[in-house]
Amino acid sequence: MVVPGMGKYGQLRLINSSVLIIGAGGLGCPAAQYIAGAGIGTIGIMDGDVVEPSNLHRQVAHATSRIGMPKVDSLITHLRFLNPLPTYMAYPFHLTPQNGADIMSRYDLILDCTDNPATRYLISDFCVLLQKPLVSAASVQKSGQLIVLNCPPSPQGVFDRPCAPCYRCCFRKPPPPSADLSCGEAGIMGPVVGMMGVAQAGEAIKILASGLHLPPERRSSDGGSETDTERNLTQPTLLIYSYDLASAVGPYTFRALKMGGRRRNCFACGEGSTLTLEGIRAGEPDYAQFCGALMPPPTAALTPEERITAAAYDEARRKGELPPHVLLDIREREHFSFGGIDGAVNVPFGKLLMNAAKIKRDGGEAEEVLPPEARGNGRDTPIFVSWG
Amino acid sequence: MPPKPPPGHFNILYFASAGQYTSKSVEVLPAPLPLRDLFAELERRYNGIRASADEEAAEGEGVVIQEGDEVAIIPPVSSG
Repeated sequence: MVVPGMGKYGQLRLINSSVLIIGAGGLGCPAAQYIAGAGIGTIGIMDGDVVEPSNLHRQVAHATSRIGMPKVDSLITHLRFLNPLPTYMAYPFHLTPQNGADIMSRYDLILDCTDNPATRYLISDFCVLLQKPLVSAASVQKSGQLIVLNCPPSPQGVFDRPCAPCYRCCFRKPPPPSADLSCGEAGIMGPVVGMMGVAQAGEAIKILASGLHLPPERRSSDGGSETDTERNLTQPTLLIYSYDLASAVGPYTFRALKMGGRRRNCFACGEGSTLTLEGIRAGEPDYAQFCGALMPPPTAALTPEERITAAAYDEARRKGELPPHVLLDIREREHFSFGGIDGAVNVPFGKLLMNAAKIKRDGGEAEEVLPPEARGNGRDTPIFVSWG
Repeated sequence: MPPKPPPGHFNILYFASAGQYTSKSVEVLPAPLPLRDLFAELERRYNGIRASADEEAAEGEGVVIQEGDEVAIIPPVSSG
């Protein structure tokens, strides 16, 4: 790669650097291809999953012939065809509070290509404590996010100069579990997640080629004072890619938003932070609890007597045991389009919530929460709801 | 870019799950609006949205959203 700003010294820095890619899925596959292509010397891949057919539309380094193989092995197989020269390190298991520090400390830069909030916070906390730059991307359905964090790295609690934020500085709390679906659950457009993974590799290459992963005193002498890049990274840009052709935000589907720098009150990198490697290893903080239990457990809105399984419903309906009723299917329209129970009316749950908010705001009768075709003959018509 | 908001309004952009929750990517709200009142206004329109929001992230004591401003709701995305 010979382009302005990237010559022999940049390439040498790449050869002498190491990248750990955590997650060998929709982000990790495209990212790893460009990391390998760039000639980065050592590439670690960590993932505990195996290749499944439903992955292949987006996890482009895997193949139908490698279904059932650990993703780490499948991805490294692919990368060796692209470039046999780097040293590839396989970690065919998930990141944990116990194994993270040892592995991550061996690398210059970390790519977060994972798919769940608990691991994202864990990776960020390790990066703060180990002083590693973190290139974080995420994507679901039709949108993606990308941000460079903790770069250049600086010790916890330092505020005598502008310092780059960590993941917690930007996102202090995870989304509620109900709002945070994985790609498998919520769906994902292949090119959207692919775009984010490729951009992640781009940022990683930029950082490593310019030596920004190193503390200033160890950076080579071709630069003098603080670079523009470095200044920009202490208040990094959050790139948001919205792939929504119907959106009024279009046609510009990329947006770049400037984020703040390190926060004084950040749990991980702020003043007086109590986060330590020993603590993480011993289970403090509790990541699963932080990401899973912030919301009160869902209350059972229906008693067991008010519930009916699909099979029991089907049987009762065929036997004519049910009174005249309305069957509501509250899944999203796209799911309903693949099929539903005969006679069901599709009113997506999000639509119900909006109707409820509108009635609360503007007044109206409770039954107006449903469209007319889903109301039956008034208040006494029983309603069966199907959501699965 | 979204269209310029009409006089007396500001644009609010909804990304990721906020867009799903509201079924919109952008809308206009009346300005001026004190930042600390934003989530109450959103809750009035979208029942339950407040419970998911990190209101502390909307820092800025005394900040008032002005006509023509642009405000974005950016929930973290964690899948990949």
